[in-house]
Amino acid sequence: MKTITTITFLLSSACAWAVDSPISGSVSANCSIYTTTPGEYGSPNPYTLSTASASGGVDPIVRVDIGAADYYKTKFTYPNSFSSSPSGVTDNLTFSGSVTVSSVSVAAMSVYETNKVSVANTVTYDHTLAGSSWHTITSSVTHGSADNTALPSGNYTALVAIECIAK
Amino acid sequence: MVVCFSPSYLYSEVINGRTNNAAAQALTWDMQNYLPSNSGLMVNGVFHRYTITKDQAADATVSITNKHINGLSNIYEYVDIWDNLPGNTKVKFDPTPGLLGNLFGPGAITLDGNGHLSDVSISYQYRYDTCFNPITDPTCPGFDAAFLKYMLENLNNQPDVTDPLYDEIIQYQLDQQAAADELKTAEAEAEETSEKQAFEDKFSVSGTAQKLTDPIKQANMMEELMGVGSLDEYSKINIIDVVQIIDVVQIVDVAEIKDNFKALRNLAQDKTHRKMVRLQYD
Repeated sequence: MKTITTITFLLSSACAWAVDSPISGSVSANCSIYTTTPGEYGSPNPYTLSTASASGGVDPIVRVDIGAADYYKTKFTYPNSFSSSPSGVTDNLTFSGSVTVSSVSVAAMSVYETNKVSVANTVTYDHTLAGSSWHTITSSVTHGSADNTALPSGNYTALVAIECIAK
Repeated sequence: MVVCFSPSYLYSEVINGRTNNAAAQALTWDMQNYLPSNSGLMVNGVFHRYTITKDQAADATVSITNKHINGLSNIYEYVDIWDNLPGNTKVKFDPTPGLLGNLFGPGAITLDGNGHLSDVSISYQYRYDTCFNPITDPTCPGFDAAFLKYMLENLNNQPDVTDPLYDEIIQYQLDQQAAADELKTAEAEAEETSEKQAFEDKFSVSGTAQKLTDPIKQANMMEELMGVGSLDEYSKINIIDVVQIIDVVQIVDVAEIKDNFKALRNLAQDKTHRKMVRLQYD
């Protein structure tokens, strides 16, 4: 009687020949980007759009929160084209812009501005410290290659791309 | 005797807030002008923002401090070292768990080194329970118990007009006096009612007719009536008085008495009248 019982157990425990056992885990966000001040173009003259306050615009401000020091870079790409604009913008558009560190949560982050790398319309920051940094972006556009041609009336939209890059 | 203070509703609220910019006018400030004076207020953090303008090669240290209320040390201190760093705008919220607001003394932001501070903003994040000390507000849960405890502790003290609970103390004393007067009046009325009832019971005539027809009750009634006690005394006194009256009569007998002709005439008239009446029947 004892032998029969043991055999029955062995048979029942050998039903599955292979098992996938999951291992779960998660990584919390250590690099976050928030737009704290939306940008707005002003039009100081018919052929110019600018985010400068002197031109009636608003410079966008973006905050980058870094949870773990020295693991991330951020890449800012200020506009070199409109994402949407009225039809009839056929002449040459000249874009310019900049990105600066306008505020920091740790004094030592002020070196980010010194150490930033600018290539074309991209600016890259190395976030060597944990904390928050505020980045102000400027953008301006002039219309016309030979003479300053008035821009067609309508709404214009341009995008600033910001991304976190793991080092 | 119960004195009830319970209002129609009890309400407690936790307030979270942030002070105005303490450094708006100057780089030193007095906390009494910014933090509310509520009991149990806790400072949860300090928000500071400033712009430092300096040469990168220069050394500079920015300190944000609050003296302890006793003035001996700092209850809050935050230091930024800008040595060999370019100037920038510093923004920071510094959490400070568990710091009692009433321990915060004068605040200041100072720059040691070469540079210049501008656009300075210092704000304190605070939190308090409106009923942290329930005796401060009758609408707070636990006010009754706290107030009674306070009254017991200050039972023999005269109320002070500067006491924030002065009105409540006076009201409490008035209530106590009113309750005592009411009790005294009620006792007096009860005693009076009891005496009146006993008197009425003794001299009540209800059911007397039945008692009169019952010889046993009649005997008991007479016994009770005679058992009043005071009647015996009155009887003795009356006997003495009667004796005295008799004596007086005897004294009167000694004096000379003249005939009362008017009375005799009336008697004669009565006799005549009686004779005339009897003639009708005889």
